[in-house]
Amino acid sequence: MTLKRKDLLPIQDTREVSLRYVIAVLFFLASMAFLIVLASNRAATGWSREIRSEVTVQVRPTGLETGSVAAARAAEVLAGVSGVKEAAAIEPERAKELIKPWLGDAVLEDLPLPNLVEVRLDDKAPAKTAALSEALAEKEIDATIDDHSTWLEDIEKSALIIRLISISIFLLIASAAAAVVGFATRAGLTARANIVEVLSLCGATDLFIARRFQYRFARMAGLSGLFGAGAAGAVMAVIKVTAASQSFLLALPFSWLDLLVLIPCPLLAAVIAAFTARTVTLRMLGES
Amino acid sequence: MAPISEDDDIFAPDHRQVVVFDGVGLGYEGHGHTGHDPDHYILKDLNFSLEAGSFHFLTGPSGAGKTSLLRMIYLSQKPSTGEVSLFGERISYANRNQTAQLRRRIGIVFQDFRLLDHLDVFDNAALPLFVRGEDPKRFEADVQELLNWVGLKTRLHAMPDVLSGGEKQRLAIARAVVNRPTLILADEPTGNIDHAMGLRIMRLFIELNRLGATVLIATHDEALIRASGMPVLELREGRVHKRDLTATVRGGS
Repeated sequence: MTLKRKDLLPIQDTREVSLRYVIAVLFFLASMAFLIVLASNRAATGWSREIRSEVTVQVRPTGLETGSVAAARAAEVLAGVSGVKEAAAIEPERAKELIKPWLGDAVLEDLPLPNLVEVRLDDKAPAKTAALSEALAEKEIDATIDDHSTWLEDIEKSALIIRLISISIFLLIASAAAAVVGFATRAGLTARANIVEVLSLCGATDLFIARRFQYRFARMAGLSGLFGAGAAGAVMAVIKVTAASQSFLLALPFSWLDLLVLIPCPLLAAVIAAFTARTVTLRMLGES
Repeated sequence: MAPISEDDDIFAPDHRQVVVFDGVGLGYEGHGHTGHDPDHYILKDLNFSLEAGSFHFLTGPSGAGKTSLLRMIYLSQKPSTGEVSLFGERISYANRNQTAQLRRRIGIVFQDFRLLDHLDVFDNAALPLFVRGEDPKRFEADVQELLNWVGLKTRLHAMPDVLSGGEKQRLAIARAVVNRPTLILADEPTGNIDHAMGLRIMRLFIELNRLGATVLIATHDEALIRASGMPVLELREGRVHKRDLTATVRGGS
């Protein structure tokens, strides 16, 4: 024969149904925030890797040389620098094609286009900007090197801000969940004051009583957290498999592996609830 | 009734006085006074002690303060003045954990039973053992035998709301004695049961007393008091009076 109500408290009442719902919603939002942190992190890393491996060199022709000849010469010089994977001058025709969508046909003929060399750096040991400018100076080529560092800083800053915002949202939601559990524990203790009193008169210590509430709320929050995290995972899966969301995936490239981070979510919910219920119970009993 | 055997050392030998009331007064707030005015105390200057292994009835008219006196012993009510000692310890200094430890040595039968409606008969009876963290496998047989003794053998898995008043009372008594308490306090324990079952329950208390437990039973039931022939403490006008020479009463009369 064993005790049927392990936590010695009555089976849930209607108040707890809404509590379960609130906790599930909170953990759904927390899980979404977490998934977005991961995806935005991945997007930012991808963009900065792309930008970091590219350098644009603007060549100014000297003497009788034409712009395209100077650019071709610069491309040749740059291709020989160690740490450069590829260097190619952007042909005037291609440059026009690139600009056309923005400016239209009319003005293109009169527009002085810069002579650009596109340099792709070696991913593993990229050439330093200084090495590139040294190589160009040696061959007396007048050029300006743009290593995209301005863009890089911007992207990294934006990524950091997104990360901070998402983590703050996550923490806010987790603390809201704790507050809800704290409120429910207080309500539960008040509603079950008679049970708490009988347990106490039978010799139960405050810790024993706190453990009953801790167990009860941990189990409930764990289950609700599971539902919340499951719903967030489902939303992510829908976004990922739906072709219509391709542009969304470009901005937030979700990965199936991200689902793994949702696994500890129910556990986290349970830990938050257990800690809150225990603290609140001990404090309330201490005050009584 | 197997839980207690003759060999058990139920109380420490140096605590000969299980309960000591030393100048205890109790007042409640209300009716235009604060509860601190000794003229309005419901219990005044109580001085008495219960020796280890003694058996007493506590009587008095309704509202005389019997339940309040019991509440002070089981640490649910702090006295307004004076000092209550339990098992040789002054309880006004007991913290919450010590209070819990002291209560584990007391079995209480409440007038309103205080059963937990969501637990069945077995779980209710075994509650003090669960609370002490004991292994159900070890006490299962003892609890069943005790429930058998109080006539609840066939009701082990019934919920309290389907029990009759008498059954609830017997369950409350079983819960009070299940952990072999050193001190048994009972508030009108035979109020809802017939005379025959009342006598049977009294025999249980007397048996536990014979095995060393100190017993204090608050009751109106004069027939029961006469039938058992045990000493009586009577509460009248806020003071305790002895009705038999075997009670150790140091004043108040």
